Amino acid sequence: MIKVEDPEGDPARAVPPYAGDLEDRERSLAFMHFNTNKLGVSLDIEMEQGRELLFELLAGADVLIEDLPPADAERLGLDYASLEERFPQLIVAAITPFGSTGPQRDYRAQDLNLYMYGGDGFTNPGALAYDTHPDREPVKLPYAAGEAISGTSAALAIAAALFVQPLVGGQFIDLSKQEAHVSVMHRFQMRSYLTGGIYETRPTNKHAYGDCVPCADGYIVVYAAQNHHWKMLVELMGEPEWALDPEFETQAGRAARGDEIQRGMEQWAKDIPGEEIYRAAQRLGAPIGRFLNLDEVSTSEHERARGFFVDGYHPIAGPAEYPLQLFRATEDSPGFRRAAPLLGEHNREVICGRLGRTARQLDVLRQSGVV
Amino acid sequence: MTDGGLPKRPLEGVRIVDFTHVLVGGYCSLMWSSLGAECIKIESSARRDPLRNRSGRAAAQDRTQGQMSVRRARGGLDEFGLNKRSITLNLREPRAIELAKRLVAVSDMVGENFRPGVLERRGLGWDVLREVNPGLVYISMSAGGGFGPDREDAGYASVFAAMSGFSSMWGYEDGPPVLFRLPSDMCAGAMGAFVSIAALVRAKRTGRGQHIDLANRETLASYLGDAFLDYSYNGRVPARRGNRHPAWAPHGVYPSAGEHEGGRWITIAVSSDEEWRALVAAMGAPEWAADPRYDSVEGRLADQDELDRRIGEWTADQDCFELMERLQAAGVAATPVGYPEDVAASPQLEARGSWREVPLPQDGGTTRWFSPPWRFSKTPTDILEPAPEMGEANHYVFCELLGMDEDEVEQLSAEGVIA
Repeated sequence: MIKVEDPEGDPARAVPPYAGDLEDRERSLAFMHFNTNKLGVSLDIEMEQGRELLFELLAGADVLIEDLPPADAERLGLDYASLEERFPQLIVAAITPFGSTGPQRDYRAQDLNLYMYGGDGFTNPGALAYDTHPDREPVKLPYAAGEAISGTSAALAIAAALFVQPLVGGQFIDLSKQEAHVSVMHRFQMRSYLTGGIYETRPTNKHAYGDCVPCADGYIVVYAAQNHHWKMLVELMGEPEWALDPEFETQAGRAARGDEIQRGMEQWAKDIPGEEIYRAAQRLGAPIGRFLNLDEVSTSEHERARGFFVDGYHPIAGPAEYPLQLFRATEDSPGFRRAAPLLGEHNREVICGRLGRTARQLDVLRQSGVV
Repeated sequence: MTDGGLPKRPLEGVRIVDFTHVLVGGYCSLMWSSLGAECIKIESSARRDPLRNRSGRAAAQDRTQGQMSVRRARGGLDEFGLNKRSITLNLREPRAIELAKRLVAVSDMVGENFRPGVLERRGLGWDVLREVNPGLVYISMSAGGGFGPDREDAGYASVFAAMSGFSSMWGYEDGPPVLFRLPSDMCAGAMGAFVSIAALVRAKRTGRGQHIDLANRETLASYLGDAFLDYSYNGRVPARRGNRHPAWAPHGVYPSAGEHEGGRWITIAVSSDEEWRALVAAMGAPEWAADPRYDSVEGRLADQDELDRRIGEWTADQDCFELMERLQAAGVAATPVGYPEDVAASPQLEARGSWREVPLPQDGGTTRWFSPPWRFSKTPTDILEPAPEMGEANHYVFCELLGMDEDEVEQLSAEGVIA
């Protein structure tokens, strides 16, 4: 994976926080996380010589992934119509806010806009976060999660195109982040709307009771919709008098008096540490967990045992644990192979080593600002 | 291959034995079937996929019927079963296990999202099936993964999302965490589809299959990798950020005019000084925006409360769709908060052919479903087949693929094996 950056650097390099809190384009944690295990070259593709180097790289590549605005891709000759003849084996994946076609294809949109316009932003927050701030605005997915969700949809399409590449050669994949959000995030509300004309909004995006419940040291998450879950919950709470009301034996009875149940649960949970509740609940088989903070996830016995965090080393930021091992496979697991590239770190390796330029030629390219 | 010609869809010719059920697995295998794989869903009348029970039209009266959720989506398998086949196998029967193995022997992939250990106990674990088919890709998806002390945890979406750390990062800076419910299933399912297809690419090149153990918790955690690095490098427990961005301002969701039970809102994300100037011009260059502090992003980041208040006053009496057009024309990233009716009426999605009319078997009639979110130029993906009736492919699978005669299939049906 060769990341091609503008000589000014990917804008993600300017996103805080930074490793060691030192503002430095090589220390942005957002850049470091999303670019781990890639090589990096810096290339000005606005210059003709820069584009020619890029085209030379494409001759030996299976996939080009780009997220230029569609009009810029066309202007630079990086649209599929321009690339297809020259690189018949190349898979070109364009990841854009609204896709490469259509009346809104040139509209601008960031993570915030796309989640709110294509995803299920209108449902969040629900439950306790809504009830405590009903007058506030909808709230976006945390950090860059919305972008990662679109990226996963793109990655799975690219993998499928690679699968069929030996038979059909290259092709164009036009991925709209808006559509990825509709497919992943909005789907559930959308099908409810399409089949019945109803859907949840922030005030209604909750269960009659449960969901997010404050405990002694944070919050627990409670799902106790079905009768057998309710029985477990009653046992977990020590069978308090109020919970034994015969009306609570049916889902309808509980739903009708959900607020009462919620208050009872809050009273019960408020003095008990979340870990204690979670462990006792899971022993009973009840789907109850904790809202873990990231330090708690990082140090959890479960993630330690699974090796989700792997040791990484960055030449400037130093060593740290990276959250990379999101699956374990018998042949290949993700792992940490190399740190995110420093700006232009692999220019020599790629431009001399792979494209056959001499050191002197590379110097000339540098001096003229191409590299 | 169709008619010995070139494949028409990316995963054409790939056969998948699909033990998945409910949403994580259902979404994952919907991606496989959308990409053209032959996805054979294993069902049993003794153990129905709960998605089947949720087929048909959404029912507003769920509330009075005592469903926990105020409004429950319907559609279920009508949507998650698109492009799939279905056979019945009662996995409590040893003879059904043998048939499953024979099917695996002529397939490329197995997918499942039972609690860890369930398929192993039935004799369909990786150690067994790798012997049956050395090129097999076998993906298991579960809340916490197939090993580790919490592997047996009861794992509904809201629970594994909270245990991943994701939910605690979501919400207002000064409010409680956001409950991340059903879409977290789809996130995990999409990751499962990606990882398994990547493994298929490798298996095709090397002839070696593999087993993948994917934890839903970890998929969600990986989406917040930069936040985890903040803890790892800086020892800081990162906090919720609301709608704000660490490097850009203004960046928020603002009230707009119009009636809706959830309110009407416009989102604005200014990611450069140039965009800020465009926004100021679009607002009619109000006096407050001329404050020189706002010329730089540092100044804007330092005074976001005031900026948000001022922008909100300006947006509050404007229609969010008209405002989007005006701001986009000026070069500002702005969109409304889109409700389902807005998405369903989107001219962009309409122009891109995003919708397909598909039968709703349980109610009769049809509904519109959303097409897969990609456009492949040579091997286009599409909704081609409505969801299967349970067991509709029994003849195809048992007689045509496995070469059994019809009498035997009938006998096994009568004995509750193919059932």
